[in-house]
Amino acid sequence: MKQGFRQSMAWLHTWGGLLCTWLLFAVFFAGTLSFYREELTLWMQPELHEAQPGSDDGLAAALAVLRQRAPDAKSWTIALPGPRDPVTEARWSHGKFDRKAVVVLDPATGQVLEPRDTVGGSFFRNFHFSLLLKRTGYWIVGVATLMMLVALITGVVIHKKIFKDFFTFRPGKSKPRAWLDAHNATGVMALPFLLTITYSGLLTLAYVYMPAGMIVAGADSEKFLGELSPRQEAPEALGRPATLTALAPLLAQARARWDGAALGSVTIHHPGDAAAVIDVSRRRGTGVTARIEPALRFSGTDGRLVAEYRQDGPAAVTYGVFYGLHVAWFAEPFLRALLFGMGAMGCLVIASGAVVWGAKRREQHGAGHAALGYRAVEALNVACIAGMALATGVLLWANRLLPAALAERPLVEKQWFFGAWLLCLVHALLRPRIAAWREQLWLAALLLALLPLATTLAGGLPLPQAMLQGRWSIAGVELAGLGFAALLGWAGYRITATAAAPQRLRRARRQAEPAT
Amino acid sequence: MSLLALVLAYAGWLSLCLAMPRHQRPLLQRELGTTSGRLLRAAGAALLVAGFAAAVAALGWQIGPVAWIACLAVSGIALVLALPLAPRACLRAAAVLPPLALLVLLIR
Repeated sequence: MKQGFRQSMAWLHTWGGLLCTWLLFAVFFAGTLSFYREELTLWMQPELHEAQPGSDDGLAAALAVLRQRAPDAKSWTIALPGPRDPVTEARWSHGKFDRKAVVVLDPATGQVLEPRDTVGGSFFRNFHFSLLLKRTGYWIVGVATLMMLVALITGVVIHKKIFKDFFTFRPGKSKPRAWLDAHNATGVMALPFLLTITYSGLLTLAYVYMPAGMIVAGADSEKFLGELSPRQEAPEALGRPATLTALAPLLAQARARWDGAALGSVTIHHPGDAAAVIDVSRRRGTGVTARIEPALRFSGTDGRLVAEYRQDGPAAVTYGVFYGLHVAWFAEPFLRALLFGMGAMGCLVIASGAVVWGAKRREQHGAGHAALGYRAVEALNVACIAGMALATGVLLWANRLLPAALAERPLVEKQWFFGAWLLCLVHALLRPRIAAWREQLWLAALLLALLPLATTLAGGLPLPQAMLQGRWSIAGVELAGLGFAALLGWAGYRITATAAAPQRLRRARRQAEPAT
Repeated sequence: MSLLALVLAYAGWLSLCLAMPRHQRPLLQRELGTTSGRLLRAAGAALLVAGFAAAVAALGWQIGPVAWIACLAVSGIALVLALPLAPRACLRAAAVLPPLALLVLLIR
């Protein structure tokens, strides 16, 4: 073990990185898509496309629905429409076990909408932090995230010429060199983002990974999260009936109090009781912090402001800032697009790292080298990088083509996603490396490019109309699909072209650009 | 306006890149003197700082710095990946985009 510090760090970066690369790619990929969770959910529920975000917030209609369907519920919650979510939701819990019920309304017409059951964009969010395995998944993702942090730090240590190579990318050079350039350049440029997103990602679940403080304080994670939120318990019901005060003036008052900030939801505890109170909370994403949105409590009978809930505790605010930085609820469309781009860069850093590993070994051992380990790594690269895009395309198609009233619909959608992914792995193991890349990339490109066709066939707002009406949150999904289809198609073409005629292509390019 | 921050960051990165002797010949077909290099480096740093100001002016102190870092990363990566493929277009973009963004800002 007489090695230099840098060599041991290089070893750790190479092998630690390789071990986690597929999992990390999946986590980054799903996390990047989660920046558009609400848009994806909306796209995946074509029944909601009719609802136009307008001047009305659908408050009166929601109240009417709640009065009619849940007159005896302990509490009603009305989620107000926002720029990314055009519908109003009326929610209540009922029965002995507090079963949750929800009715979705078109805010403009007050009509009840019946969206199909779907995994929605939340599928990617849940997969991102739990791999859909609940607590076990938290731990697997946590270990991988820690490895990501290790890879970032060791990556900086072993990068000998960070400033000299800052702008260096030589696609004309040999394959490992070109990919290493891409890996380094994107990694260095995206480093602030990567460090922030990785560290804040660890912190979002810190109460799972390091619960000592919580346990000493005699709390569990439910209590911890409950206390984090500034909202308080509702008072006991009095059992005396009373009329509910008008809501609109309270909402206006709340808006004025928060400098015109948008509102998130209205919760009415004990509606119809003399002890009724009304909590109005600010819409999330007004500032950087998340999960600690302030709320106002009004009396339900005379509309008097009873209390203002804010969360100013330093620990809660620290958590709120890191959580907020991670989920980026504050990002307006332009910034959201930038963050999505950075997430994609994160995927590129991880994917290019995996490709460098393979390309270096191929260069050392020759292209014919076919040890089992290398084959497995190559196949996993294909299945996890191209296959993930393909499975996403399959999920979006399944969402459109499966019957809307299908029982256990979200489960079937998940089965399509994971089934497609598994098939990609089998395909990658059976086919030669280049063919596997090309076929999966092109099939993924085809599926994504034809998403507008899926909408035409099976319902939803067609792309041209969505664009003409300025409904960018719906059009964006299909437009992004077209963009990624072009990118994946080009990547599939490049992989084939460079593999078919590496010498010719390299020579041509060297002549085209002056020597460096 | 955050679009301005993005193009300022792009122009800043390109100035810093041009300040480096190894990038001068492929991009400009000649090597610049040390004074020009220093000037370019100073201009690059100034443009990045101006981008910070634009981001904070557009989005405030809480979100502005986050947006600035996003602008730095996205414009930087776009520049690095595009430079060897289309060097002339990269140079032209740096000359055209910031005034264009300013114009958009003024029209609004």
